[in-house]
Amino acid sequence: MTDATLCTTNESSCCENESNGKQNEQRAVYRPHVDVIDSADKLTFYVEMPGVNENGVEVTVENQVLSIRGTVSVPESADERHTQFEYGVGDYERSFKIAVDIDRDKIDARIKDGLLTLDLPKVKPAGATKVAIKAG
Amino acid sequence: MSNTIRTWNPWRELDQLQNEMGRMFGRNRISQFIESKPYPAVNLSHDNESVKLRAELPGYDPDAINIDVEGNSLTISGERHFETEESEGNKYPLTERFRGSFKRTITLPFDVNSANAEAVYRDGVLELVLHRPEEHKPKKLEVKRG
Repeated sequence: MTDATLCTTNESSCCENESNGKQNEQRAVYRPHVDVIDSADKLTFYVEMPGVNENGVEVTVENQVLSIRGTVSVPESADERHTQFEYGVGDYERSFKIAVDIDRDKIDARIKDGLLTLDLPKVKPAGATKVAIKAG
Repeated sequence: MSNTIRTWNPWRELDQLQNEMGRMFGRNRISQFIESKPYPAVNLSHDNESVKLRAELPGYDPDAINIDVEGNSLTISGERHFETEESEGNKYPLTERFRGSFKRTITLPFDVNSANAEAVYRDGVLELVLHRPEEHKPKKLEVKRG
């Protein structure tokens, strides 16, 4: 619950949801590098998932939590002997708590060259509505 | 009468400070200093005939990646900028991705032939296969009984 409070007080429109930390024991799961741009009409996420194509991405939004999962299409063969090994090959997983209202039906997701781009349009806050008073 | 009275929010001040620091040092540079991992991350494997190298370079235009091979030295270089230009109203709650220019030289286990090198960029992974010149390949010697 602390996450949600943090989101609203620092005026940031999203923050990482740390509670969702389940990991698959058989296959390594990595945390992708992410950029978020918060503009007037939308939130844009750039998620780096090298080795993932359009068949291996899963994006869900539930209870203001955005979850991103990526499955590597062709993992490096295990019998390959590495002389230099700087990155592990596995799947990607990360989730964020979104503190602004977004239009879930208009989310746009596309992946190209291992980079997932997500556009989450914001729901325009309803302005003050004037209530008509009738003479009774 | 001014109508710009706003409630003071310490977080907003911090946000502004961070933005200005970002402008001074180049965004995300501070964290790059702290964790100065070589970029891009590379996995390398080889046998007697060839070297296979994979580098994680998501979201690049393959034309913007340069590969130079000389002897047993391989250099990968390139650069990348923000997808969206910085504008007044935009905020950046998170900037973890690499941006700017990079140049990385990797020493290979042996000299390679640059002429028949293969380079494929797929799903953000650059894969290079570099072959050892015929004359450098280890030769098996036949042992005769004297």
